[in-house]
Amino acid sequence: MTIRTTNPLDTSQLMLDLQRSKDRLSLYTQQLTSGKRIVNIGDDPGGSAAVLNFQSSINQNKQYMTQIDTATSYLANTEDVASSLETQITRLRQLAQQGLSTTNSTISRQAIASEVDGIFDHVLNLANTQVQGKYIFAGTQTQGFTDALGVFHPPFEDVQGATAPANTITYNGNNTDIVFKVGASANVTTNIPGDTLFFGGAAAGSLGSSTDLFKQIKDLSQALTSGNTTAIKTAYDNLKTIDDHVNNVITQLGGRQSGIDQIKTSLADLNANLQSVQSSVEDVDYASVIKDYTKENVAQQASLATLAKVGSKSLFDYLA
Amino acid sequence: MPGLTAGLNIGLSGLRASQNALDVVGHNIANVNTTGYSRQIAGLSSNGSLGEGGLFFGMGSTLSTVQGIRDQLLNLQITNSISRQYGAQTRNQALQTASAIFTDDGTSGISYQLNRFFAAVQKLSAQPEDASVRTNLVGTAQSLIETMQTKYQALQAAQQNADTQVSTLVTQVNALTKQIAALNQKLAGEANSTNDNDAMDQRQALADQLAQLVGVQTYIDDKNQMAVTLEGGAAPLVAGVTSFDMVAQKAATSPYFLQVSVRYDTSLPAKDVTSVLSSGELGAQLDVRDRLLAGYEKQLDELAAGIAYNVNVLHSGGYSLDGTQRNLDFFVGTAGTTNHLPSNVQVPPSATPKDDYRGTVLSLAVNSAIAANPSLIAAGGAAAAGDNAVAKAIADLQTKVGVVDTTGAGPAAGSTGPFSTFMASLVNQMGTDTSQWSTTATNQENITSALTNQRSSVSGVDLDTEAANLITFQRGYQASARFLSVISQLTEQLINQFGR
Repeated sequence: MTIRTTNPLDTSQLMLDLQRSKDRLSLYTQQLTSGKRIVNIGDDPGGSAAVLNFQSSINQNKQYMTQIDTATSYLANTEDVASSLETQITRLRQLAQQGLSTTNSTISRQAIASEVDGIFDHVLNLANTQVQGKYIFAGTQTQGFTDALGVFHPPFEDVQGATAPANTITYNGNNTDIVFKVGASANVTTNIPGDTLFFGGAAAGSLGSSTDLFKQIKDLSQALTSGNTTAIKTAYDNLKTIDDHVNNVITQLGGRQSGIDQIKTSLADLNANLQSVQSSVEDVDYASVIKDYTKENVAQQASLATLAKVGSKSLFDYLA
Repeated sequence: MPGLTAGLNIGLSGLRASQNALDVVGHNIANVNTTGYSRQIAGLSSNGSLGEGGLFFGMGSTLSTVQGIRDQLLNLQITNSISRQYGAQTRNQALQTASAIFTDDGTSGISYQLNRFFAAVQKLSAQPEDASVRTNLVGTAQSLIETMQTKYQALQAAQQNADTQVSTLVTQVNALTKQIAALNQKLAGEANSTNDNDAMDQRQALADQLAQLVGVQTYIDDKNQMAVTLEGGAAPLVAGVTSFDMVAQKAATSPYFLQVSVRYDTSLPAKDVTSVLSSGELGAQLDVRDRLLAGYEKQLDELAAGIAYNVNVLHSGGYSLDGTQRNLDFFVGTAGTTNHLPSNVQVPPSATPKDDYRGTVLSLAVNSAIAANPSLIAAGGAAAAGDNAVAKAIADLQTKVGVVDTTGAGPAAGSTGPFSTFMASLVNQMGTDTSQWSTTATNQENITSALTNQRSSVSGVDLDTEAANLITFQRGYQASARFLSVISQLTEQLINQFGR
């Protein structure tokens, strides 16, 4: 059976096809010029959402890496101070050993005591170390402490005069850890509270104890001045315990550092993967789009050529 | 046996019949490009015969019918298909515009601003003492709010645009239904109205146009009157010679946008058909306005409420830089906050579900006290300058699930999240809607095109056919003329030569 094909029908179908061909060409052109496979979110809704999620994860990971860098700088500074502290403690123990030697006269013991006093000042200075305007051994009291009279106090203060217990100094910080978020579920503590490092534990129980470094230095200095060898021996032994404690802290800091280094490496790897996956979703496959573009272009030209010929002839052309 | 005069009459009838048939062909050719025109066929029939002595002599021919070729069922299908096609196309166009606002590769837009905000919060957790970090946090929070507001306003503008279209379309619909009723009136006054092909074609063309504007069902009754009903039988638009106007006006029950109604029975109040219409341009604009765009706005409001509530709950319990617990909300509304959310917003579960969180985005701002003095930001969980517990808890919200309430269970009982995933799923939904309507539009276009081609094949004018008919009737006319000239010669023979 023949279907009646009438005149307007020919062109309307052709025009519809031609319009669609032009739409597709325009999409390919936009893809090629923007370099993006998804021009409008309607082109690939799932892909659009995936790109957003990938980009979001990438940004979060970058954020964590920045946090790790900041954490590293605090940990490194803390470790530096702990190492110098260790050196000072070693020197103190040498000096104590010299003080124990019976060959030493009172005068030379006093000379040793003055070196010990010098080390005390140095250690106090280390205890009040500031990084980027923050006291790093004050728990969370990183800005020091201003009392009701408006007088400023650094975290560690050697208040001359009567202190209880004897030979102790004042600690104005607290025993709180500062924790950074370095991953979706990873945290790292970036500080060692001053009392933990210098007193061997929370100030409340350790101030003035056998693990209080400042008290031991002051006791040593006093014992050397008075020539009390028993007291020098006690200080010497206590300094050994403190030395072990500081060494522990250094190991602990190193452990934290290597932990976040590993996190950073895996975050960087993850980001490289995410970026390549995102690119495969988001970026245009030039070869395939250019192929499609060429194909569509040929189709469009064929349509145009056909449209120009259609309807040019009818029976009327042959009637006299 | 008929005489010579009768022969003259036979010849004359042939001339007339051929000439009239040529007129029909000419009318077809003249309307070859007229929309909705159905080709007409000249129906010739022989005149009755004269009986004489057992023989019957034919008395020539006349043009007895001019028949329009049309398929009523096809017309009905086309009307439906056009409504759906224009409904899908209009939705697709509106969504293309709206989704362009949300096209985003994660380096701009809401998702990006969310990441920036939380990055600033994390920086604050690393450096709670640093004034510049605090100022930066206020800045990123403000640009997050601005970005959300810009996108929200763009959605509102698109909604407003749809609303304007609604009133324009209603005017156009009314003009068309009036014309259809007028043609019904014309046909009702005619004796053989089914022969008035051109009036019927015009009426069908108007029905096709009407179907583009709004979903309708048309029906031609036994009196050749076209009845037009809104889709789903919601309300009549044309009944016999009467048309009923649609009215678009703001109603007390829906204060935001125009409500569309039809008053077809003066004894009843106008019937609200706003939620019934779904196809045609009008139905599509209403759907875009009341469901699609409104749905995206609702989700943005829910997102904003989730951010504001969760950040505020944590922030108000924190300690600012000077170690004071101030119970400040970080995000506030234009009229302050109630229970950590803008006071002017209806908060579920106690609020009317329809307006849950509506207006949160547009109302949101960074607390002006904090913006003026960023040291008031409560980063600490205790009275110490270096304490970052609250800042860190806020940063944790970035990856927390259950921070956005979409079910109306209340801001503290969020069911989805994290924020960035919620945003991505909103983009996904817009994209899916756009692509769905784009596909539907293409499919409907194909169906309409196929049906129109079929109608064109049945009713369209084919110039080759007309050319052939032209020759046929021309030859008929020429032959009839020749016959007349023969009769004339015979008569002359009789009068002038006979009996000489």
